[in-house]
Amino acid sequence: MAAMKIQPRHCSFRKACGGYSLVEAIIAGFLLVIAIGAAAVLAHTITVNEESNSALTRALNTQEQAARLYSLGLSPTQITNILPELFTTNALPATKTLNLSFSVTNTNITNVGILETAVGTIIYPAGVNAQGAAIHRTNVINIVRPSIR
Amino acid sequence: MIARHPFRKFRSPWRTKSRSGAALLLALMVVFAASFVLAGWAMILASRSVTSEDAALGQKRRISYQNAKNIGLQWARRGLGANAITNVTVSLTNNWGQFSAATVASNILNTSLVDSRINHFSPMPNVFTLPVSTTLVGGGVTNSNTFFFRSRSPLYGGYPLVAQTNTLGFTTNFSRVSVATNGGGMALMYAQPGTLAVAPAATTYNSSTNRNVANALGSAFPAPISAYPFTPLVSTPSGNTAYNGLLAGAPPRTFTIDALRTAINTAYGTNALPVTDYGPYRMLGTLQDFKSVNVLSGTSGTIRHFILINTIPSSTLRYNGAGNAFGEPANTYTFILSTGQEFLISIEGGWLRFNRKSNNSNLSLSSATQYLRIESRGNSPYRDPSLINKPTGTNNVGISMIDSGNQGTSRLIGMEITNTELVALQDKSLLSDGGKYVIFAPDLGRSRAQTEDRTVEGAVIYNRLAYGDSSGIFFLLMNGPMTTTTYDALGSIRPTDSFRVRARVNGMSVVQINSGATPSFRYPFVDNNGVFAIRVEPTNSAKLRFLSTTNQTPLLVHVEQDEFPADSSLQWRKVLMVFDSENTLDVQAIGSSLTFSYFDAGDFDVGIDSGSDNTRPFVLSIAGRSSVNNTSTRFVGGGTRTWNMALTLRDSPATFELSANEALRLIGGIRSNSRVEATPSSASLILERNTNPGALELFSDRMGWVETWQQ
Repeated sequence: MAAMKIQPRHCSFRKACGGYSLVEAIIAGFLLVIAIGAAAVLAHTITVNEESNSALTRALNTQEQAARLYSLGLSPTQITNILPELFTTNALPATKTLNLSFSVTNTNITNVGILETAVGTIIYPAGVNAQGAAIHRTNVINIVRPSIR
Repeated sequence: MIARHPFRKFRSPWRTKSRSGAALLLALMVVFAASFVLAGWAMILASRSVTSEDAALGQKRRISYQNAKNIGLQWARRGLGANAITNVTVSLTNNWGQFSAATVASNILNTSLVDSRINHFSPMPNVFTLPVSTTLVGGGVTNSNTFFFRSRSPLYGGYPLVAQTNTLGFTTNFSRVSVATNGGGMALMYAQPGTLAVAPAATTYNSSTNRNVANALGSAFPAPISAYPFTPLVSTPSGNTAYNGLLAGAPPRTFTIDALRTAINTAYGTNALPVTDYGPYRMLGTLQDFKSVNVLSGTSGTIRHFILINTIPSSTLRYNGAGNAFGEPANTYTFILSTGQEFLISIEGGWLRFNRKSNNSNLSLSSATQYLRIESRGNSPYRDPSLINKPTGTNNVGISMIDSGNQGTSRLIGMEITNTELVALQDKSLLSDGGKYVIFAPDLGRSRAQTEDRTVEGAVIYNRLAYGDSSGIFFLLMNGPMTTTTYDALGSIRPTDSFRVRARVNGMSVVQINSGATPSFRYPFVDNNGVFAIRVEPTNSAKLRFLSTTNQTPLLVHVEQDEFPADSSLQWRKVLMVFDSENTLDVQAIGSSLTFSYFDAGDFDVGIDSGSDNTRPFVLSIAGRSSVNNTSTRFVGGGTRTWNMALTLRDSPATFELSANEALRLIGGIRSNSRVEATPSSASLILERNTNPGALELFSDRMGWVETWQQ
């Protein structure tokens, strides 16, 4: 009757107005809940992915800047002092910290002389897994610089 | 009654179904659109992940390319002080960079090529440049990269004062030295300014021995483009390979090096003079080029006129062979040549020897039309007689005055050309106006013990010779122990020990004096720029003064003591001096105002004649012995107002002893890693940039650096 009041012109008959049964409404609501849940999970995934990407990008950028500074002649200590990041020596650095290290050796190459070679390693927190545990990733680069500089 | 709607009379069987279908269609469309949104979303997420992963690839590409360039920089910088750079290909593991370059055959710091293209980021303009093509591989990308080896004298490049770290641990100090602001010059400090007094009023500047900061000093020392790119110099050099330094607050885009040579011996070949020249300063255009021409082998031109010599003064010519146990001929031949006549001696497979047998055997060529000449005739394959090459194992010189078995004493007394041009050297030029071929080559018994005296006296070289050549070759060779019993006419070349002198080449002359203990005469050299060069290398002490040239003949003087003196307490000096008379006709100023003196104590004095300016630009380079830093070069004299000198001091302090209240104006500048001061306290030394050094650029010690350019 209420429907007929709202749409008197089109719902003068019960069958014509159709309407939804309780079962239909429950099913629809159930589907809606599933959709909302999926969206929520996806949003979480997106967030985790975003954080992971951000951590990766930041770590790579930091490591590249460190490599450039090393090429310019700075020592590993000077590099970690200059870069605007929180560095730690922990093997599993906490959130917002990075473990940046250099293993430096001299390589004497014929007709070139001594190249100061560094294996640069960065360990960074890359987000959490499905269980909420922190994930750490590592990136290793090789850098050389002239000993005459 | 309300009329019924026509359709209500006939209810459409499709009415309810159409509504349901529309809703379903709408739902499908929504789902379809939502799936697109979700798919796009997922793609974005995937792309973001891939982008992050690709960032690692980009990082490796950039780093590996930088690695390749760093390898190239090491290769290039290592070769800055070398005569040649060997080709190389270096590949790092896992594709972390690759560098390759071909051999560079020439000496990169010895180039005279000036790159006309301007790089505003170069520390000095109009630099000498040697471009070298290389290949860099990074991240799978191959690029051609040109390394530009740049070099220039910093003094002439805009820095009249260059302070560098003393590698011996002594303090670099400038007292009462300032840079004139009107010349556009700037001071360039490579030393640690830890104790530097920067107030202009102090005019005293010290630097500690640290070597890790390039810095500019206050308004009295305007900044060299905000301490731009020179990375600090270089510590503990070893060989030609080890140059170290730390970053100085600016990227080490350029590289400064005092080109190092540990042993110049190799540059002269196996028969070279054992000249050992080490330490930061390379004397470009002098020592290096000496190897290019072998004067004595005659490969670079015919020496046409040989001018000698009599054995005993005031005697007549006689060739006397009395026939005796020594194998001399029994007959005596006397040649009397009338005016205009000549006596030709052809030698084929033999030798010509004048042997003094008694006191009355003399040779005299007394008039302008009488002369002893050895020349070529016809088309004989031996038409180019050489007085140069002697058999190996003997004196290896063309003309020698040696003692035979009678242990007599050979003496070279002197020579004359014409009476009308008998003028002392200090008053005339060693070079004639038009340039002449001249050889003056007495061998004064090199095999004798060093303690025996040899006397050279009365040797006079004239400004105008009798010959009309215009080739401008002057050659002077002297060998053997000598003493200064007589003030010789070579203009006060007065070594108290043995020496050799030689000179030569097109438009250029060299006089070299060195130890007679060294059995080598191969002293090649230089270019054809009309430069006169004198090299003095006594084992004990020598005086060289009153040098003068005429016209526009650049004059180069290289004074060098033996590296291994018998008396280790002696302190040695090396001096390279370049005079450039371009646009300067007043030669008398140098001739009368500049005196160089060696003393046994090791001090090196440069006399400044009072009351006159030195308008002739020249370069004076002095290097101390590696273990000695406590002797001074004194610039003595008051009243001089302006000197046109570029002074380089390595491990060698200098004192300008001036008059009270005198401000000596030095156009050129000083490069030093030692103490430089002006005395007394009221005096001062004002350095001013020489903006037109001319040919001196080629002879000055340079700084070198490397710039790169990707093609």
